[in-house]
Amino acid sequence: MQAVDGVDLELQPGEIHALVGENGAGKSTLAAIAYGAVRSDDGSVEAVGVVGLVHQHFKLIERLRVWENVLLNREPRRGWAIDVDAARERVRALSASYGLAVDPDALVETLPVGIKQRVELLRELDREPSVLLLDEPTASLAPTEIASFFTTVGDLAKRGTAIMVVTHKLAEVIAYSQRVTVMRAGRVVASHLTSETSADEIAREMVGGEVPALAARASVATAPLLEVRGLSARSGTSVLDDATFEVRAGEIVGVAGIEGNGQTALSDALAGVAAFTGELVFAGTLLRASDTPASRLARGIRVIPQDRRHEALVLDWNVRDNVALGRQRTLGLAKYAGAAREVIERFDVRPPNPDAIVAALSGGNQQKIVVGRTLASSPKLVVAYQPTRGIDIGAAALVQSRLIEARNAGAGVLLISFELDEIFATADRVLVIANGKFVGSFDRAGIDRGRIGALMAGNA
Amino acid sequence: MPCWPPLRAVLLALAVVSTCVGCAGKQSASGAIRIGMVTDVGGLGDRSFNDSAYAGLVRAKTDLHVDTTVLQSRSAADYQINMTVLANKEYDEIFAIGFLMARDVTEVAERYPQRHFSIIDAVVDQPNVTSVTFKEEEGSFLAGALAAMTTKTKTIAFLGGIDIPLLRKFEAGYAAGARQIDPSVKVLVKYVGSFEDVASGKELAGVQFSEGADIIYVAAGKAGLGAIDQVKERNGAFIIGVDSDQDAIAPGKILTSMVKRVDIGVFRVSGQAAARKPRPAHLTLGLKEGGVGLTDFRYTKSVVTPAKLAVLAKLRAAIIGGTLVAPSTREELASFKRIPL
Amino acid sequence: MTAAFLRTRAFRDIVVVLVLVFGVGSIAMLLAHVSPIVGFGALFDGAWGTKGEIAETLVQTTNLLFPALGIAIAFRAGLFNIGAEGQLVMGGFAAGWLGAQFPLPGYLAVPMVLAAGTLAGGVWGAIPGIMRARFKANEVIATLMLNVVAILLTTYLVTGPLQQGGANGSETGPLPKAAQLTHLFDTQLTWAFVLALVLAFVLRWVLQRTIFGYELRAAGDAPEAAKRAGIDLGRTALIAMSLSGAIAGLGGATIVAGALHRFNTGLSPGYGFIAIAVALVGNLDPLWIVVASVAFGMLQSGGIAMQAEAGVPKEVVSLIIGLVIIALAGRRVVASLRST
Repeated sequence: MQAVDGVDLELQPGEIHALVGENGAGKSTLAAIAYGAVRSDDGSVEAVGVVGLVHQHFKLIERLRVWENVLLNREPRRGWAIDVDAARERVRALSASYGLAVDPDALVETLPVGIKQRVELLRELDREPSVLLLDEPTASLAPTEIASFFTTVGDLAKRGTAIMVVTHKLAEVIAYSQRVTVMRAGRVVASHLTSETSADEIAREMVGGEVPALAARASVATAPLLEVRGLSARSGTSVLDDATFEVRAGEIVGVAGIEGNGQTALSDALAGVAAFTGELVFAGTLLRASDTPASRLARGIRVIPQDRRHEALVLDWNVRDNVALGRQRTLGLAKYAGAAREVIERFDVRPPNPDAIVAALSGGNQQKIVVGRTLASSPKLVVAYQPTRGIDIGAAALVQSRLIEARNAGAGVLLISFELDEIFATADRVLVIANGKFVGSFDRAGIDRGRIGALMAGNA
Repeated sequence: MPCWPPLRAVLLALAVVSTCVGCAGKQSASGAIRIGMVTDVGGLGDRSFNDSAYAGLVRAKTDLHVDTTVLQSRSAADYQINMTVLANKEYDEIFAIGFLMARDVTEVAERYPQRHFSIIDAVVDQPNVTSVTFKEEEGSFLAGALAAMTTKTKTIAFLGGIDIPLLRKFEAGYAAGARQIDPSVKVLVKYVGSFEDVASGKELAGVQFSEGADIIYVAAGKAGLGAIDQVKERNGAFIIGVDSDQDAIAPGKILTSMVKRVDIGVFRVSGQAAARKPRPAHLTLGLKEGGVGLTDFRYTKSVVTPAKLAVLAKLRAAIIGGTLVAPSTREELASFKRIPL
Repeated sequence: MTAAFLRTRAFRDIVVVLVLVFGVGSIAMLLAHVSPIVGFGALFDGAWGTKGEIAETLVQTTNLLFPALGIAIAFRAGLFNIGAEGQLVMGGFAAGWLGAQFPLPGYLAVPMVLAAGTLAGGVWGAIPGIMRARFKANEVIATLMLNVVAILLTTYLVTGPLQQGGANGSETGPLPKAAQLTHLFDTQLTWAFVLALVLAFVLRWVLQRTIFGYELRAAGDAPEAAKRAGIDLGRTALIAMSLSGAIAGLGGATIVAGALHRFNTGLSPGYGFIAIAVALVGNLDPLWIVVASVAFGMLQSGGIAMQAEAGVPKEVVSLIIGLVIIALAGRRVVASLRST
């Protein structure tokens, strides 16, 4: 299959060029080809000078220091040894010249994501690129960090670097780019000066038609379902500190926050895979830290984990066996096939084949299986952690609609998302999480974007 | 079907090989008698009875013009497999070297009644098995007598491999020989519990030396090499080796070796096989047959004086003549009486 | 054979194995101054030439099949059980010692001997299982160490406190006739071979067609997802390791009751290790493992014949098997490191 087909694209020095498209449209492949990491079958890439690429998922070596990462393979030498002093000085000068403050001696694993991104950027800048490719650079940044990041990038552009930003966040495209190219199914479908287009138009071009509308929100009577008092939990590096909130049956509670602020600990505590202190009362019974995941499932608490590939699916298995996962005992082997067909139909899984190996499906279809099997078990509480991460607009709308329908049918939904737009589109109430603490609560009617953004960034 | 080049090569190789199955004939082309030998886990290079048996086989090959094959055993599991392979290949005589294989010889011989087997050091009661055994007590008697004449501490020792009837023949003969010379000489007895554990052999020999013994008769297979290691570090102490001539391993420190001429047993049976004659059910080799005996003291002539040699010669004659019967069990040892020479 | 199959991992493994067997085997034979055609000819002929030779090949197949099936169960559950050798030895010891110590009438003796071996192997497998479930101890190291412990422990027992009459060296007394497995076709082949084949089919069914097998595979293929799906990873590890050990132990018992008719501490020339290669070549699928164990059984029995007839040291076979283990196991380890 061809990820990219017959694409013509021209980057100008001094301008930020946004490349947008749905997941799987070929953006990342195009960036990789331009960088030289992937071979193109036909055609050519011509660039004046060096091409740099900053990845969506950081390619840093966590155990090494900042200067070691920045100068990897280009270390200044003194004889056979690395000249550490010169290296440190070079990184310091580099970060001063671009206004990207960072301690050259800090261990990368100790740095927050925003700083890690700077290290990534510095690493590419050290090569003095004339073209800089940024793949989803703001995926893990706070709204305020995003603004300052684009200020830096804008400065770079003014110094004469051609910059291409690969993204799916249309607000950023409109706010910061000078030119935008839209890709769909491996081809360029439109190219605009940003000043001459709108977010709506770009969205239609990405999808190839109208953006699907979400399911209607029925007004339903809510009832107490989950009460959380003083919940503190830890899962890996994720820490949740003294959280108190409730989720009622028949409502979607959105948890807004930037990645890495305690969301994983929250989700894992509810899934029964992380230890916690505090009080969790679910449908009148107390949940214990010693509960197994199985007992949570038996009570009707279902979690859609953030990382579908590792935490939710057995990639080498077929769709049928994956749909059964989590219900393998209650369902009974004989009913696996029927359950799979149901999910395939209700969620429009493609290909509609229960025997297809899940690893071969697109991310969107994989996620449909995870969400589909979760909702098919008629859960009382659904914890959806980044349920639309990395999937296309159509699939995302489907997933979001199904969550709304579950809410309409009386389930409680806790939607933990890094995408504010998703939360605003679906949630009845919004909680804001920052640095592991719940720092704000808004009713649907009283949502204040600016205030929520500030709270997310840790500015109380 | 696309054919990946390495695959093609493999298929080609398979085809070549499969057309050639059967190239290796079952009988040797010359139609010569074929004799196979299965070593025990000690294997070739044990400087003991596997090597000795192999020497007999080599002699059979050159003198009798037979084809020979040796299969070495890595573990006890290999005994039956190795014998079975030779039986399937229709060898004319199959030697099992060592009593450890007694039960396996019984099993395989039962399954292959047309084949003939020989076992060294054990008695297997099957019509198609020759049991080759040695009168170790006779050689051990001489060793004990020499030790008793040589000790300065009036204490000598025996270090066996595993406490089983075969090893008690060594023990009983040795103790009786010492008693024949001087009833006041103390004989310490210990068993390693293994024929392979060199470290324990060395350690236990050290214990016996520190308990006052100055000569140790070591019948412990490979584990005995540990004892020889031990004696190298001690002055005025000796080891008496066993099975094959071990004198050269530590020249001057090995008083003598009680040699079991496994090679003679192997060669004798091979001779019968080469002549296509029936083999005896039981072949017992003692002093008389030259199957056991002491070495020629080539490194220890200064210690083994002509007077001692004369005593040994008298004892040897008495045993061969039947006037002296060396005990082969602890019970016989208990009732053993010295005879006047 | 479809074109798709030619691209699968299973197929590539087979190609790797064939290249190693014939390529490296040929080089080693040439170094030993033997024509590979003569050498491999002797090997094939020695494995399949006569009724007795076929029987020996199938005996070796059986001896490898049991531990390989056990290993496959553990590997499918994501547990690198390197301890099949020790589990097999423990099974053989329990079978040999009890069989000699408590002679029972025929219809009871064989089941008791086999059950004793199964149980002992199961316990020996359960130890690292518990260590893994309770303390998250690495099962590779635990099982590897327990191999050594099993050999030393049984050596101590049969030469020390549990010494039995009629024993030669480090072994138990003889097994009474009633406790010995019946031979088939007037050869050394016993119905342990049939038992192993049946077991392969049963295990295949358990893995593919039961909820237990489903959960075991999930725990192995995607532990994090399995845990979140309510599967108790600790319990699964314990059961898988016990079952794995039990099957290897049963194999040890069949060697004692079928061929040696006594337990000897050297009853295995490394079946438990070779079986790792067998299980991997068989792609951890019980039915493919049957095929792989026939191939390796052929190498085992034919290798000795090759040494006797063509003068090629049978270490050539050990060399090939070792390379197969490195190639297949090494690749798996690399793959598992990459996925984490």
